[in-house]
Amino acid sequence: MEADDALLDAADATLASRAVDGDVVAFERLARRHGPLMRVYAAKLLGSDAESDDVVQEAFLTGWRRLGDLDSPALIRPWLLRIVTNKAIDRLRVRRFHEPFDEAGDHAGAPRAESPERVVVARLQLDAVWQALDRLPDDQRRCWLLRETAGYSYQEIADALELPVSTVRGLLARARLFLLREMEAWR
Amino acid sequence: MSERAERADEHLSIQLTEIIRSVPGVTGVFRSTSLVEAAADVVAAGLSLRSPGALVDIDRAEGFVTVRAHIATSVQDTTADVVRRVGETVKAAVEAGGTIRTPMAVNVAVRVIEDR
Amino acid sequence: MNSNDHLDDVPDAKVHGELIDGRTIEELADYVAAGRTPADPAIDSSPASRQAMANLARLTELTAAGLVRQAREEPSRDEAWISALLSSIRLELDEGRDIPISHPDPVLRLTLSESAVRGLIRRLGDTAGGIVVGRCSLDGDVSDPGALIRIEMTCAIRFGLPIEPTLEVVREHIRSGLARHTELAVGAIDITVDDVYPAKEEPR
Repeated sequence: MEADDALLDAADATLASRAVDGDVVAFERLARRHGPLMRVYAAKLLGSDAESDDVVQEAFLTGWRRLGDLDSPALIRPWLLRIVTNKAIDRLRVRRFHEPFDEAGDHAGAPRAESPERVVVARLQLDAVWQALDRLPDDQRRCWLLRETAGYSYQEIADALELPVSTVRGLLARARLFLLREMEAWR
Repeated sequence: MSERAERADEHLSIQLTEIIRSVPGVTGVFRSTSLVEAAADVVAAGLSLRSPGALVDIDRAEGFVTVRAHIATSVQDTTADVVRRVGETVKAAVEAGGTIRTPMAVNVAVRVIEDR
Repeated sequence: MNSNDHLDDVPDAKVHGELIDGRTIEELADYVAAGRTPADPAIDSSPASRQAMANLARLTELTAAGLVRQAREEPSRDEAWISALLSSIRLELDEGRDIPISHPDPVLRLTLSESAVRGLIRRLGDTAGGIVVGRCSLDGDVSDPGALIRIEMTCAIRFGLPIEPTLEVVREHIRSGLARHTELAVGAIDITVDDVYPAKEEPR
């Protein structure tokens, strides 16, 4: 429909202003634009695919309710991403409480990518990094995603994961080196 | 209210919900209760105490009945005409049903005008 | 697989030790994250550092690209949580005031919610051509039939369009749409342009 088309290309800031104004359709547009990626991000953060739908749905509902707190409509995406992050981390805390030995995860070692000659390098690199993310220990992967995807500072990551900043730095350094090495293997 | 009258009202509500859905220009029927009541309804429906298909509210108080329906309409149709049509249809259906003989009011509210 | 296996892949000495022209990879990552400002000529002039930074940037891109690719794989899954989300939102939506629609039969009490009418105005604005509506509100006693209503709204206008003629078309479109769908007595329609959006390239 015509009206949908106008919104389809509308800037985040426009959609956010309208959502603040009570426009459900504009908020739906934002959810469709940014939600899928945030769902995958939540799944990676949790190390579990099963809970990510709930997390992202809860987060967007919270976002809708708190739209009045949004300072700048243009920053709706990082603002929502932060809510998704908080919701995911809340789940991690609950899980840690219930399962003190939480290392089992469901990343049962994704298979390594096949020989580099057979597929285009770029595609292979993408696969390699994606699979390498799954092979990272949970805490390294979380630090990496919070830093790279959510744009958190070291201090913010430390606060979110309840770790010392020095530990966060160490985890990030390890994650970075591991991922770089996996990526460069397909150069 | 007796359990029997309550069941009759629920039956009527399901019927009216269906009838409203079939009115040209109507794209949806919403639960017409308030948020708190709606939350209680979700629980009730979960316990299968109330049918999820009964979206029209039938409220009896002191010999007066209020029938409340909340709807979505299509922007392709003239909203004022659609809501009038729904009001007339509901009133006719209630009168034809014969379960309500006391004075009544039929309230129809358009809550969203949709692009379809 | 034991997830600690990889820890052995990256020995401590390497995490903290290996220098690229005198910088750790961590320092370079922080430099990239800071947008390479303030500029550090020692880093910028080192081919090895620049290569390492290119690799870091590539890694960031690949992380983002991986998320995007994965997100596209299960569209039906997103359909499910988004529709559940919308139901929740609609349930608690602030409907605003009731706007009456007249009927000769006194048994019938017909209304449009204020939020439905505001939604209609947004749609009318969006389809008028050349603008995307921002905020909008109804000023006046909408629950009183016949009372004069003023509409106040903001919008983004397409780059290059003349403002006043475009807004006049928008006002007329809204006015006739509201006359068709509602019984509101619409007075002034005050539109503030607060943004400009780029014109889309027309395919030829």
